[in-house]
Amino acid sequence: MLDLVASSRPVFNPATPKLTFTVPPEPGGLYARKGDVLFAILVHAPADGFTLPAGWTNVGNDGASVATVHYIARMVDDREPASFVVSLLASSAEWQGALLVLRGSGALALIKEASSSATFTADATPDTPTAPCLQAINLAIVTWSAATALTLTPPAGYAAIDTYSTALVGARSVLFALARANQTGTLSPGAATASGAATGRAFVIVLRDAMPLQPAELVDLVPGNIGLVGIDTRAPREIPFGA
Amino acid sequence: MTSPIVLMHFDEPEGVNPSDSLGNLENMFTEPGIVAPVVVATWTGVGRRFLQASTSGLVAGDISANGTMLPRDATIQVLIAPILTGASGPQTIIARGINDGSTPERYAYGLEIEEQAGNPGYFEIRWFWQDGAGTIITAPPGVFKHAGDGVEVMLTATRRWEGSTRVVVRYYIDRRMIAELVTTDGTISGGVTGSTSIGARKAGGTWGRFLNATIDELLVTDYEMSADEIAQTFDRLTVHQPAGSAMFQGLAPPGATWFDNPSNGIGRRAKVVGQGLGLALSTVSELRSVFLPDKAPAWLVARWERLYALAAKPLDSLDVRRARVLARMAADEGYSIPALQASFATLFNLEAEEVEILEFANEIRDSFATLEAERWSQGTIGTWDIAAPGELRITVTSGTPVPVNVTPNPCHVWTPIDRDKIATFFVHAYAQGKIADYAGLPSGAFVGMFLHARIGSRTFWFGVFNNPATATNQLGYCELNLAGYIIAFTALATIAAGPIWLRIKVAPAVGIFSGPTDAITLSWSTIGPSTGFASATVNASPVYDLVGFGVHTVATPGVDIVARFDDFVLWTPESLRPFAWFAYRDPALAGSYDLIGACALARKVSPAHMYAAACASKSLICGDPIFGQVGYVPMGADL
Repeated sequence: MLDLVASSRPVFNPATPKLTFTVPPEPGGLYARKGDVLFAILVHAPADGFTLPAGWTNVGNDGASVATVHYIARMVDDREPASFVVSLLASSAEWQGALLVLRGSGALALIKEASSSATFTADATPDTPTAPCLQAINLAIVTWSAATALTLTPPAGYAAIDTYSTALVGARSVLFALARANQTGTLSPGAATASGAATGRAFVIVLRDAMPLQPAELVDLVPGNIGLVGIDTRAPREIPFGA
Repeated sequence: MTSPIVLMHFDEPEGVNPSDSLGNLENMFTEPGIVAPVVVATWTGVGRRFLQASTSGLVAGDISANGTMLPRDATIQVLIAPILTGASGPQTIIARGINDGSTPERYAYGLEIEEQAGNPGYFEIRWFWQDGAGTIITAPPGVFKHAGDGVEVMLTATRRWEGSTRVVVRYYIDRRMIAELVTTDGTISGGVTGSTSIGARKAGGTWGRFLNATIDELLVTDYEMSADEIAQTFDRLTVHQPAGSAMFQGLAPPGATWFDNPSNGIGRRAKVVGQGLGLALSTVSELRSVFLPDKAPAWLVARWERLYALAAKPLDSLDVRRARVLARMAADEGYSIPALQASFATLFNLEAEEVEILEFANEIRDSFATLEAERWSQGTIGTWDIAAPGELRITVTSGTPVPVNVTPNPCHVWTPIDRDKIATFFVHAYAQGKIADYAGLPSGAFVGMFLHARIGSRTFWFGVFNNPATATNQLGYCELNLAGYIIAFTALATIAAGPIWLRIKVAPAVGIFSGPTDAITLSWSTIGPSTGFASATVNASPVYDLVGFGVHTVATPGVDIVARFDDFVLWTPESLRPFAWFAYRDPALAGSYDLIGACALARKVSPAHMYAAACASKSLICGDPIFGQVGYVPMGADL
């Protein structure tokens, strides 16, 4: 099962332009081990682009000019640097993001199960799009990106990973939240709460550790095996000495 | 309880109803709406083919002397071959209860599978039960890929009830856990003397949710099987028993063809022997794997707990119980700081070096880098704060008179001399402090140290007084005695401005019960905290329970009173402080921790003459072991 171990907030430098992510370090019980997945969420408005860093996998993107999200991932190996830089193509957009350290992942190619996005306009309770979810153990990560400086609060059942406002190019606010899906079918995270009328876009991505497993077969050429037994857990009898 | 409750082998021949090998259920039967599943060959020999199209199902009632009611933890393990062809909708493996509206027949537990809608070829497996209102609760499911029609597999589902708002469910395929999920619907209904159905579920008198699969064997237990147990079970079925058969067959003379046909008489007999050998080997292997407390299943960890005289709370999970036993074992390595840190590390969910062991001496020192609210209680007159370079400062606004009695509201900071004990005999103890600055002390104002007894509300002051009679700053003492009489200020010296160190001490040879004629030694130095002290012996009671710094006035001050104090020392050789220690878990560090288990460990490992506890706070709130010990923190607060 995927679990969130740690997260960090990137630094946006519009002059260069670039986003610098710091990999959460030891000590403190929060660190990236070999086999963990670094999952970076990059969100920006208006339109812009970036160069995928070497060794990273493009998991997908969503959105349009109102706001766009990109998901990139990398599995931690023995030579993981303490930070990495995502080079941006232009300096005309406000970039925000989050780096998540996920543990328990399988192959990166299977990590994304589904994603979706939807806009909201002048809404103090910006809603979230739905997404299909095939396994209750999946993680649902929701991102709300809104114009101007606002305080954003996730819906019930979702824990905020990070939320902040910046205005290095144009004022924007972002909220990242996460929850265990705990259901299959159509996932409806619900509406966030904003401190004012919010305009922007919400994104959902459903992550999984692997496709559902297939159980091993009990096979024998000739039927006839000892099957399930009930374990005798009664306290052993104590026979008195000399009895 | 850690017992199997229902064990169905389904090895009865055609025409004979299946029965529970443990004798908790009546023989299973059919009734209108369900038909008996047919006998088919399965991995263990024979089983029953439940056909959805034929509305196969079985039901049986509890044998009254026993019961299958499991309102909390449970495990359902089944050897089953699901068949998707001809199947639709949810399929019931087992349900305890027939949901006829009565409480005993509400579903106490149940397990069902269903092909995922929109995702053909994948099954959901999920628990269900009814709550107190009769609402059917379906727990979040695990998902696995269908192995193929007729392929027999082992599925296990466990339920751990942690509270009415938290139930942890786990699902396993073969030896692997595929999901651990939590539901908040923990009100589980049902009652004794109910019914159990297999292959179908009844609600409101109608059968439905028929199973489309072959069930080989079915086991229900009243405890949550651990992942290790489940893995060992599957290894027994697939590794040890076949290995036993192979071992026995290997005893045949080289070249012998006795076992070439495993289905002939000799082959089957050899298999029986081999399976028995494999079962024995598996039991040994399982015991080797799980006998130590880090892997012990519920039934075995209970024995470890008895050995170490540990008591598990009813809702403790297996992981918590294991950790508690391990911590107790680690404590056996010795009563040293590193050993104690290692003992508490598991329960605190920390590295050993992150565990703090708090221990105390007979002496308290305070240099007033901060004003610790846990140590010092303030009066209501004046403002106390910390001024650079780390001194305690009092400011009393001009025109504010301050009574000489430190209770109920005047101008002071005080701390108990020895815990919170009232009427401590201040014998063999001393208190020392520094008046760092008292420049501009207005006429009639007194600044200094005091001792106070709450019984009788007596206060003994020692410090600097701007005496109106002499218009000078004098060092001396005064007292509000037991009779409520203010004994006028007695000067001991006339001093210049500047720091002065004060010490109050009761002579050890003094008789305690001599009353106000006992001798108290007052010492003062303008040189430093350790040298240059002059002394004087005065008569006063030696019985006080509070010490501190303060201000009082005999005339309304015409200007602000500003004074600074520092270098507080309190030495109480008869104090019980050194006999208490605490294992401190910083709550700011990530991770959950078992404080109650840690408290139990502290009491276990601590020598009999010591008091010990685990805590997550260093604040003084209340509590004293002599007075019944109301808390588990250094100062006693119960967390």
